[in-house]
Amino acid sequence: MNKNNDYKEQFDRYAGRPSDFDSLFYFDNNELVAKRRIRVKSMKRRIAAMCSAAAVIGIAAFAGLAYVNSQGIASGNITSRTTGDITESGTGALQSFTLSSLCGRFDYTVSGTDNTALNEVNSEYAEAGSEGQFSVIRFNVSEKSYNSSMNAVDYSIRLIEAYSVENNSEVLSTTDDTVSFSVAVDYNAEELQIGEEYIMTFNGFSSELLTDNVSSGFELRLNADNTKEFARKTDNGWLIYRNSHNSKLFDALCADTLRVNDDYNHSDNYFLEASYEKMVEKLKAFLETEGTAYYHYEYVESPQLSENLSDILPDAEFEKVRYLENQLGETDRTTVILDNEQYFSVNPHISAEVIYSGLSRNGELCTALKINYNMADGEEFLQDSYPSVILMSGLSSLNTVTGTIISGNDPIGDCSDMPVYMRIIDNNGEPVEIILGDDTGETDSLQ
Amino acid sequence: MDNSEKQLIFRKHFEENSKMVYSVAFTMMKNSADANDIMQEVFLKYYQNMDKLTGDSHIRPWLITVTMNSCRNYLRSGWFSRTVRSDELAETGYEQDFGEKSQLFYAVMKLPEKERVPIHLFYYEDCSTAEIARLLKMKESTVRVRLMRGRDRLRKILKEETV
Repeated sequence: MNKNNDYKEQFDRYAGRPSDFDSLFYFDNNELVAKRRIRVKSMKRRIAAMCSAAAVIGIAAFAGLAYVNSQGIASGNITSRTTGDITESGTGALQSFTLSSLCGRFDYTVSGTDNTALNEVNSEYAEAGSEGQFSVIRFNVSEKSYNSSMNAVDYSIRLIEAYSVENNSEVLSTTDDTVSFSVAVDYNAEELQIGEEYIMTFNGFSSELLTDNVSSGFELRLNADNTKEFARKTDNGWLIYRNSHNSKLFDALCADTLRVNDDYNHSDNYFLEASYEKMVEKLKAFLETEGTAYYHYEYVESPQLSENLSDILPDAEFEKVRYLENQLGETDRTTVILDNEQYFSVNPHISAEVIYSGLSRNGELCTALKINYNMADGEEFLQDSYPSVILMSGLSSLNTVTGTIISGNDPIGDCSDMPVYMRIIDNNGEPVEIILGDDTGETDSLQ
Repeated sequence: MDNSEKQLIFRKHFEENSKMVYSVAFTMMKNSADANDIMQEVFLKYYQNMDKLTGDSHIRPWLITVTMNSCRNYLRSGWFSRTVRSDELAETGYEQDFGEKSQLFYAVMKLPEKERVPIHLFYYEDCSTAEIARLLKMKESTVRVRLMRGRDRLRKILKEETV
């Protein structure tokens, strides 16, 4: 599909048209008034899928007329709008907190502006069999900047370690040095500080629920007016905790697994502590009491990287393997895909070329991979997105693989006990068989 | 600005951006009625925030972001989650709304949101990958990967449809 695609034309034809201004709004003197919309079509299908009582409530609630006083926020004269059980009201601008990327390949979203929404979230997780899952991520802040257009603060954080009840290595690992998220400016809330260490505690990882669900990013919403109220509650779950005696409760999110008291009194499920070590200690104790296995992840630095291969292997005798495109002939558009669940969990399909295979200065088998900044369709990676050379050491099965035909699902080796897969797809996205070495199995066949 | 001026500007920006807001909302909600509801809500919010948004260049990304957030909030709302499970939406929404299936349109709507939205923004809104990365708050490389995966999945879907 290129940009001169049929999609636009088909979308315009089949997706309907937006309502015009006059069918949505009108001005009454100086007020903008949103017209009530009766949604017969969508209601019909919803009614079919819901219990009738809930339907009546829902229809009545959702159909609430929303309007805003033309004096806007300054006058504070915003009529509350009710959507089902979620009520937004008051004069405070609704804040949003978005944490994306942190969740790696599984995007997920939970949100709640009040306890009802919170309960909805929790019940959904319970349905997905993930009740009680939670994770603790420890990180420090490497950068922050102010995004004036979104009235938000953008943070880049560096992961240090994480605890999780479920083995969410795919979720909790990242090849990125930093991940980013934004939080709406809340003048009542303390901002995270560069260089400081924080802990985020949350629950609700569920790949089943979240993989194909409606989200990208972790979003919390809080109202500046009720921040203090949240902070006083003991059943709230989202916590950003700094290593000092200062803590900040951001939202009512993870009610069941985390209980926090204002005075930091101990309670059964109490994980907030003045020190990280104590918190982890309690966390482990709780998990063990519950008979729940837990997993600990330490953030692993990316494989040794360098712009200059000689910096990596200064003493090695280079046996330059021949470039894969030579082996495959006219393969300008052929892409080698390395697929490793751990190292490439965020961007699992990185195209690269094997430019060296042999012994490192330590006498270990290693393979140097030069990142190819072209994707299968020829689109370019940003060069600064990836290091130019990755050294994969400890590829223990390299000898086995060399000289044999490997298909898409065969690992070319492993790195830190994790399999590394290499696949090649052609210009049409079809897998291509690759021969590392010739039929004789000689390791220099790629040289 | 005075009220009459504000109203004129609001109306102008509505005319200029409503199609975009609608298309993004439709991509998320997968039906026209919800998309129009979302659009109404988004422009209400826009009206509230007009004074803060300076410069035309900020309006488009703001609207797209708010649209996506509004859609997610709506999809997660108590009412919505009780009435139509999101995994049922694909079976009850646009397919019934449109008698004639469009292969490509249909296939895109079958993609998971994380691929569907970047695909839509890239191919319909002509957003660059850098723009999409900013809007979705992810790395540009992640956007490219999602585009690639989306295209791969589209190929599979279309191939299955053909068979």
